[in-house]
Formats: sequence, structure tokens, C-alpha cells
Amino acid sequence: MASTDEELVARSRGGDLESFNQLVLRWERPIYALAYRVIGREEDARDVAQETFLRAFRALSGFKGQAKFSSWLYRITLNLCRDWIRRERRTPIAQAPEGLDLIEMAGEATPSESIEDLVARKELGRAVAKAMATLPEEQRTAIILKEYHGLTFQEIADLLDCPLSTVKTRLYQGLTVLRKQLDQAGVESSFGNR
Amino acid sequence: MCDKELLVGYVYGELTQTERRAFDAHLTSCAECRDEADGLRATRAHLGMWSPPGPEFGFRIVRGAAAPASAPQFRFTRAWGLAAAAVLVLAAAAAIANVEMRYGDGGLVVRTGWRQADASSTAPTPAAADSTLQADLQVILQRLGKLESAVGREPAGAGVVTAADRSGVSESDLRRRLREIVKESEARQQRELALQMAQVISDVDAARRSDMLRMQQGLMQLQGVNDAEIVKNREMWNHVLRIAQPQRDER
Repeated sequence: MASTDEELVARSRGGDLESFNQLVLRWERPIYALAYRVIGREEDARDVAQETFLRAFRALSGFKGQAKFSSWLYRITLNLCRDWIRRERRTPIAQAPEGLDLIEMAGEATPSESIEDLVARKELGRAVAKAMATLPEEQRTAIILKEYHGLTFQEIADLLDCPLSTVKTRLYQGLTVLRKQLDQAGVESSFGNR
Repeated sequence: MCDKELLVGYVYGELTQTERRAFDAHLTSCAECRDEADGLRATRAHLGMWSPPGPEFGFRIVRGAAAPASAPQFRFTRAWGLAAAAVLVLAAAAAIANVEMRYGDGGLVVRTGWRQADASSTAPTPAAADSTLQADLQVILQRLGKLESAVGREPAGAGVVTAADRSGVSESDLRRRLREIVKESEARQQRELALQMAQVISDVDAARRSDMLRMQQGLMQLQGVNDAEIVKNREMWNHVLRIAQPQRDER
């Protein structure tokens, strides 16, 4: 049976590096995905993910388990993303390849999905990324944590150090803007009717 | 004005049973909220289509681990040879001069870190022969000469009064001064040695950086050639697939 995060953290704090590496393996993709969606750049997101684990490792003795280990990692990641945005002084723009690579996409297609559906899915993903990049950082972060990481309103409020009502407002405003943006991009009609 | 916090809680399924029942009832009578709830749900469904690229990770926290098998093989270059020689020189010199070296974020730091020299254990180094040292030696020789001549003039068993006393300087003062001069001289020599070592290290470091840069450039050129080949192949296959797709559809 796989160990829980708490068990692995306890063993890591006792000096067991392999336990910490199991935590890295377990959380590297969610942490990378969070960083990528917040800052929108592949290479920088990788760096942020790596730095998150290094910082977590160094600060492990100070982690007393008040919060979930994942929440603690998310907090470190978001702080690093904020530093990145401040340092780069630019709005994150999701990288989108110039053309769609059919070979690469063929590997991602589900067995029942035609190339045409796959292209539509990819284009929709790009439209979403573009629309997300127009949101203010607070709204974008709240939506990312809710939609892609499944955190509850309360967990988001704790993570972002803001009241519960603020989280709900950010989510509502963000979703409303996204809805309009996707409408304007013709996503609702083209994809919705599919 | 309808409650948007309730609406967002409804869309995300985070209402209590009571709140949900009340909101369901509200939706039957409020077309605006109904439309908005449907629209936001559809938007949520679209958000699921945005997936980040999946890069290879494989980073691990290691402590004192051996280099992984895939690590580039070590090659003995001129810079590494110089570095090895410098390490030997430094080991010997550090033992003599109490040199402290650190390689930190700001690069290589060399500190002389002089401790109070132990007169009984420090032997004068033969290397330095600068003018200051010569002057010091002259002073020592003159004083020794005076001391010897004074001792020679004094009859045997003349008691506790020494030549040094007669010249106005006690023998213990003279010895102390002698020790101070020797210590100052050693300190000067050590400082110079440390400076020379720092220069050697700096040269070695510069050579190492230059070699690494050349190696990196070489690797990047190789990588560039490979990447270009891969891109060409991919473009060709994409083209073939695009051509093949309509034909398959027609069939």
C-alpha cells in the first residue's frame, strides 16, 4: 500500500531522502501544471516546479503539518510564480505553437477520437489559454486552483489568505469574463454544437 | 439583484443541501440566473480542454550520491590538469599560510585568515628575498654584532650585568624585538604567497570557464543539427498525414 503524504513527510524529516523523492514524483506534475497555467511559459514553469521542491526540502524541518503537504507546496509555488511575474513585469501569455503537430497530437488522441476532433480540442485549449491570460492574476489563480486542482473554496481562501467571499467573487468574475471571451472567439457556438 | 456567491457555489456544487434546494427553487422563477448558471457550466466544461504540455521531469533531491550513469563522461582537459596542479599547490601553501578558500555564489573567495603565529613552530620560508626583508636582516645582524662584541669585552663571571644593559637595551627586550621582526617578515611573505596563489586560482578558473564555454558551444552546434533534422522529418510526416487524411475520409 502506498504511503500517505504525511507518512512520507515524517520519514523525510527523519532524513530519508527516498521518501522525499517519492513526494517529488507524486507532486511534480500538479505543481508544474499549476506553475504553467499561472505563468504560461513551459521552461520557466519547469524551473518554478524544481525550485518549489528544493525550497520545500530545505524548509521541511519547519513544516509542522498545520496544513496539508500539497497546500504547503501550492503556497510555495504560487509565491515563486508571483516573484516571477514581478521580476518579468509582464502578463503571462500561454505559449501556443505556431502550427499543430499532427504526429504529436496523434499520440494524444483517444481511440474514439478522429484527427478532426483532436484538432478542435487543441484549438479550444488554445482559446482557453488565451482567454485565461487576459484575467487579473487573482482571478486566474482562483480559477486554476478550483478547476484544475479541485480545491474547495475554503482551501483556496486559506492558501491565498483572503476571505471566503472574496474567493467566490473572484471565481464568479473570472468565469464571467472567460465566458464572454470564449463567446467572442466563437467557441460556444462551434464547440457547443458539436 | 440575485446572490452571485450562491450562484457560484451552485455551479461548483459547494452548497449545503438546504442552500441547494432553495437555489433550485429560485432558478425556476429567475430566468437570468438560470441562463447564467448554464453559461458558467458550459464555460467550465471548456476549461477542461486546456492541458499543459507534459515535459520529462526526473529531478531528484540527492545528497552525496554518485553521478548518474547518464552523466557526461569526465574528460581530462588542460583546464582540469591546471586545476589539479593548483589543488596540490594550494594544499601545500594552505598548510604554510593558513589560507582559507571557499567557492560560493560570488565565485572563488580566498582569504588569508592569518592566525597568531606560533614562534616555536613557524620556520622562516626561504622564498622571499625582498628589500624589506634584507633591511630587517641587516638590523638583526647589526644587533647581533653589537651583542657579540659586548659579550667579548665583558670579563668572564662579571655577574648579571650584560652588554645589552650597557647599551641601554635589556636582553629580553632585544629578544622580543627580534621575535617581532621575524614574525612581521613571515607575515609579509605569507601575504605575498596568498596573493600569488589567488592569481594562480584566478587564471585556472578563467581557463576552465573558457574550456567549458567552448565545449558548450560545440554541444549546442551538435544539438542544432539534430533538431533541424527532427523538424524536417516531422514536417515531412505531417505533410504525408495531411495528404493521406482526405483520401482516408473519401474512402
